[in-house]
Amino acid sequence: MLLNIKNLHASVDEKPVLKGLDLQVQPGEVHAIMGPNGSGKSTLSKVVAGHPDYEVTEGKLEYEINFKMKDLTELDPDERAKEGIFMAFQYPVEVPGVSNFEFLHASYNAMARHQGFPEMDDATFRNFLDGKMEQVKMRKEFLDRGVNSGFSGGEKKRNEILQMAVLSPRLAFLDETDSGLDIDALKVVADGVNSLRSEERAIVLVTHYQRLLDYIKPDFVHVLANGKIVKSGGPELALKLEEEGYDWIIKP
Amino acid sequence: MQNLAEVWKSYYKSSSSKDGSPRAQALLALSDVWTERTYPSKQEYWKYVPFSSLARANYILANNEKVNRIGLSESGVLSIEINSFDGASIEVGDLPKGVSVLCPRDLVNKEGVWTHWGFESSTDPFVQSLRSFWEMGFILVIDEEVVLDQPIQLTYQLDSYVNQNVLAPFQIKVVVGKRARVEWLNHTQAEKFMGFANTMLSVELGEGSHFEYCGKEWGGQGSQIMAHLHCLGRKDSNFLATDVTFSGLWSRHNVRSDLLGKGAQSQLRGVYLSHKNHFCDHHTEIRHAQANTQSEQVYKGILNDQTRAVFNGKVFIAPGAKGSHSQQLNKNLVLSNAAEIDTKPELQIYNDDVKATHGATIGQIDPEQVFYLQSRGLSKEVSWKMLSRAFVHDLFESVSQNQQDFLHEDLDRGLAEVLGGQNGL
Repeated sequence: MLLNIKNLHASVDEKPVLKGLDLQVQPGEVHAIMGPNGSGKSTLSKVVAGHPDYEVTEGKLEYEINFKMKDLTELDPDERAKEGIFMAFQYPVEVPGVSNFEFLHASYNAMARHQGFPEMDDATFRNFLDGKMEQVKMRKEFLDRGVNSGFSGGEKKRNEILQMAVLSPRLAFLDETDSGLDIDALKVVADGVNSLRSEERAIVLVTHYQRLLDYIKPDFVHVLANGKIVKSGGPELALKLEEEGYDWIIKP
Repeated sequence: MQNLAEVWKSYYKSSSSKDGSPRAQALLALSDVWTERTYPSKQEYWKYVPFSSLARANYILANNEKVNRIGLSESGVLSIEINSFDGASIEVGDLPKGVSVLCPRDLVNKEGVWTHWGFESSTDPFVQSLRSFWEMGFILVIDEEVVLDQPIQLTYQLDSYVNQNVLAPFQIKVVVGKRARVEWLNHTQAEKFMGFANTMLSVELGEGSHFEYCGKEWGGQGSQIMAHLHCLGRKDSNFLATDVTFSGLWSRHNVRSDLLGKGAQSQLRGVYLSHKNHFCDHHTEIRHAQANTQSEQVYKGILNDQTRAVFNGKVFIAPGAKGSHSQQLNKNLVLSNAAEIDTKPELQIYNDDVKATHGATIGQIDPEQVFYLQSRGLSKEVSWKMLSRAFVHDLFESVSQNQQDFLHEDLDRGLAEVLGGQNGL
């Protein structure tokens, strides 16, 4: 097991958002978490990544580190990242004044130091990035611009997938990565994600629409409503949601 | 050992005993003005400045038997080393073509030595006191059309005065001929310095000339530094100044730019990093005297611990200065609850045909940015350092490679110190 969430309760500003959520993820699996607005989808990603505004008040949030399940709440966000947890942000943050290259490089080397593989110097890292950038169809000039600074919505999302490709996480949460993308950008992002599917890596897609799932086939689909997973199934569940909406599940 | 006013007064008296000239008498009169006034803490211009440490301390005049030098180094750089502040002459070595040095002693018996310094109108008591220490300094003359292909490098080596309450006055005037171009790297090294330095760089720019100044000041636990940077710009001259201050105990910068000729421009950029109980103050004053003059100021501060910082930006646009443009921006990143910044724009505009803007901000590190960087494996310390560096980044985008090299490592070290974290990413 890679991620084990049991009866998870979490609050933001003392307002409960997750109210007893269960989710188990094995390496190699792709999960889709769907749900209406306000159901707690984004909160789940942020809680896993360790956003300081979100407080876990009850339940288990465990992640496998060195073959042992470890309580994630004891780790700072950067420690979680270094153990292979990645979140693609719904709204990637602009950081003007820090170049995309400097950022990716520092981040890669921080991982390398922690995980015990060799760091790269500037030139080697630039070479390494070339292929990754091609994968997400990003032009090289993006490397020398400020992180997400003045990027269009699609460019920001591609930059998230680039970071995922560079950092090679074991568990990736993609938080509404499809929102705000036109169909071409969506394909690029989906291709990028598909190329990162592997036996060792688990991916959790958090999305409002089924559209993304036409391009990235999940193994499991879960419906999140009012802070809980209320229904789980295979890809067919997503299609049914697309046709019938959420009401049939959520209605008491 | 005497306090500051007493040192100055006895110094004036000893000079007057040597000759009874009008110069000496004027010096004596000046000393009385200073003494009577004591410290100017009641004036708006010196508001917030803690003078108590100056008033309490006992000072001696610097005397370390070292020499000051100016001359071309082996690599062809015109380098100026100021090691002594006791009135010793400057040793003049080889100079580039079209560059000459005048020592005040050579000018004493000629009429109007003060005219050469050009401080007559200043009411700043620290400038006045420099005027009385007239022999501590020199005048550098750059002839018309001279273009120096390498920057001039000046170092104030104050670190040789350790554990002494030394008074270190020094002044340099640079006269830049028409259409000449000069780049100037100014390094004030005072991390171990225990004393009061009072330095002045005053630049006179001829028509169409260009002067690019880049300064770094490293202060320490006991350093007290009063730094004046003045520029008189004639027609179509261009003055650019980039100043980085790693504030020590007490640091005050008075920057003044007089745009005296049509089309004259000045651009002032400054970064100040201050922490602990240090005091760091920048006062700028830009005077648009003629039409179509332009000025731009951007000052950014990063403040931590219980530091106290001040920015005051005065812009004066004269009635005749039509078509002038002036921009001013002061931004501050405050990292601790106990740090304080007082920022104040002061615009006095006496005609309607101008464009003038000003702005001031005080903010904190954005926690969403920190989370974003942390979520990519960067520690909180590294994230803070990256974001602080990013905050001042734009100021260095347009400076020359020489200046970037001159500042780069210091900026990293300064940020690490102010943030109280480890150096290196």
